[in-house]
Amino acid sequence: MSSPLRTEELTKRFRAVEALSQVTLEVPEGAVFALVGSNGAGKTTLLKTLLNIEQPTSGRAEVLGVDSRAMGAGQLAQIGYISENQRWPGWMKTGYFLSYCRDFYPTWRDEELAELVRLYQLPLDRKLSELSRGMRLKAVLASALAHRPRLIVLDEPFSGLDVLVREQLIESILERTPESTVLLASHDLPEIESFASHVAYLNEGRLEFAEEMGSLTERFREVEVTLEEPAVLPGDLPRSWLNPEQSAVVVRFTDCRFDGQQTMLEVQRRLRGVRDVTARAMSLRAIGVALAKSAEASGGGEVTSCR
Amino acid sequence: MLHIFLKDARRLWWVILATWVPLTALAWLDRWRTDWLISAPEGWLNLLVPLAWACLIAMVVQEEPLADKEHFWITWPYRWPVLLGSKVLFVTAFIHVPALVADAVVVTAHGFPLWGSMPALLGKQAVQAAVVTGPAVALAAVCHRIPHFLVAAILLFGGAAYVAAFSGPVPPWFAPDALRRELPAFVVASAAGVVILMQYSRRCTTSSRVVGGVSVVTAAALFGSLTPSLTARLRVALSPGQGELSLRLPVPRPEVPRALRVGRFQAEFDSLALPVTISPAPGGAEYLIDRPQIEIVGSNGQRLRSVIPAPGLHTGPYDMLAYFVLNQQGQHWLGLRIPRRAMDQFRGSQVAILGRSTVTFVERGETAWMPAGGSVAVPRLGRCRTEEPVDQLPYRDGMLKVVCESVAPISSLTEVRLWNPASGQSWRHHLGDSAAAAYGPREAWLSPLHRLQTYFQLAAGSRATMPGNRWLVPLEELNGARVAITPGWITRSATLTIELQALDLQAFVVAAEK
Repeated sequence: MSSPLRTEELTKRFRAVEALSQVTLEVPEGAVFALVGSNGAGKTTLLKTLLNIEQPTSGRAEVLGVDSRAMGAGQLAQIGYISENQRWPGWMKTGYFLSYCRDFYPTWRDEELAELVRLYQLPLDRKLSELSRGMRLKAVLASALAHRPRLIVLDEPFSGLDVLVREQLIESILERTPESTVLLASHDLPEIESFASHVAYLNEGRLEFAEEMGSLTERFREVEVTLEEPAVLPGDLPRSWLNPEQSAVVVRFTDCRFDGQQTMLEVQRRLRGVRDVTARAMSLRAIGVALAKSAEASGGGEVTSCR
Repeated sequence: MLHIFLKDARRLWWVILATWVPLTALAWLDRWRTDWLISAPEGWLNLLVPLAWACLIAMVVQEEPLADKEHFWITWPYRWPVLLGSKVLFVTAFIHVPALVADAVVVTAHGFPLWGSMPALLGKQAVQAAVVTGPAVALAAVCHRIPHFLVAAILLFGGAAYVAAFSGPVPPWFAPDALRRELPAFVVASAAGVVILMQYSRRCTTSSRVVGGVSVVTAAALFGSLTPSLTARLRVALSPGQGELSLRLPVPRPEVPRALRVGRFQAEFDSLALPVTISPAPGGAEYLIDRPQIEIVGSNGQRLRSVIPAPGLHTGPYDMLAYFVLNQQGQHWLGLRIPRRAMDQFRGSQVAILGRSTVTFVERGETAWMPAGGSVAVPRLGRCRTEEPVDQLPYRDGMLKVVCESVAPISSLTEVRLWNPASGQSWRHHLGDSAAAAYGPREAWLSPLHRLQTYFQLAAGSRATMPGNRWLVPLEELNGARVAITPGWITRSATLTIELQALDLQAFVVAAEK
């Protein structure tokens, strides 16, 4: 499968701050690719660099087969980009805004727009600045979906919206653009879990991992070990055991390379007097929290053990 | 392109109308003005209109801000030539076309033919595009938001307007020095073009800001450092077929003209007058000699260098001044004002005067005559008329004003001569050599008409015949008097090398009259 988005050793520095550090990433065609990480992890910078809003310091990014720095109107006409920080022409009435968009996109479909206007119940005679945040986002999303983009890039689009609106918007994106590739940056992990096919984790500008959602949830487990009697945790625990903690005879950790039999053997080998071992599947949110805690415990260092 | 243009027009229609209000008022005032001097409201409007244009330009450029990375348009499929074209179309349609229409109204109201004036009016719009709207577009293209633009625009345009208005007039006995303004303007206009292209094609805001900043600093440095002698050298370099000229002392030595005589003894200075002729002789051509840069070299190696007054440079009591004077008989004189303390070191020995200057040759056009109180069309100049202003206190006897108008720049080399055929007496002036004191902004640089004027001071009774009052025109001389207008313009410039050897300076000291 071809890749509409690809980066190689992509680095972006803002003076002394390295916002992106040698990020190599490939987004498969048709994927709903979630970019997660805490605030300041570099998600927005990565999206801006991909869309040529920022120029990379080194490395390269390729979007729809073209170097991001050489991206022109031809490529941008195939992209729908929505960001929480975007400035929109608030003076425009919704109807005029949507008709103004039409002239820029050769693949614009009026019937598609009419359906979206009906679906989102957009008030065409009201200025964008007079709309609520949710309604304004719907108007902008309608403008981005009406031309059936090949690539949809969303930067924290749903933050601050109520659950119903989020659900409606996500559903409409997935239903109306089944052939599109969606790249979404968010720190709303439970929401992403419901529809993302792939996930990538950024930590302080470094890409910790990028993989299919299924394989990710498969290899992360919250492991709880019950010992015969209290014992001191050894110092040489495997690096894939994140955030190990002990409470009397119970030892808990997150294994980011869980492999049933192998993990059991490793537990038996490292800990003495093991009475019981339970491994629970983790939600994306729990995985995110574990990774964030681990990164914090290592002084903001990388979580290389989980790649 | 058109849909972006229409969107901008729809968005900014009220600002467009707001810029037309002061423009209309300015055209109305200009349409009725018959004087070189402008009224205070017109002066302020000459500043307000460009400011209003700058605001409109900032708003239209900031509809798709180039330095703002959060704006929606950045990820939309705008093609940069289309976007730039729509902005150029907007500026042309709502700034330059209305300005051209206003100019056309003013010009036709003053009796100039519309189609004949059109090349000059279009040229004026091109200049305005180069020095006002172009730089404003460039500035708006590198500013993040409109408030940033306003601060930068007020500092830059306000500073430029202030410097231009108060940099001091060029005395009419020197060749007009347009290069000092034209070169910095050219630098800024060129940089603006580069910045606009860089920003619209690649959005290199940091590089564009550097280019813009360097151009402003360069323009300011040029304006500050381009002394009259430097611009004169540039004129010579740009002048086709220029040859070198030199100075020599004529034999026999003519009598010192009255204009160079010293009225009373000056304790601090000696005034010297050296008769000079130019070699090779220019053969009847009229010319002006700029202030020279000279150095007196004594036999023992002592040196004294002259100072050329320039805007911002004030000469002191220890500075030597050198200048050329032309008397009515056509004899050129090198005048020197030497501090007596410095002069003492050269007494009793021979010196050399070394230096250089620039000779500017002037070509005269056909003289046009009109009666005092009449008007005339002057070939290659424009229209001139005379009028006698009233209420010119404290000049109670009145003044005869001669004012010329043209759609092309008028040279201050234009000669104006008042002649009474009956008495044979005549009085001479140059356009632009006299003006009333004025305060506040008085630059009419947005006017499509160039105006220059001069005054003949009238005197009643015996006042005109008193010694020293020969410049006054007796009222009775106006009867039957005629006014001659002779346009003049610079044709070329040449370097004048000054090398006068073995001179006894004391022999040229002008004694005070008793």
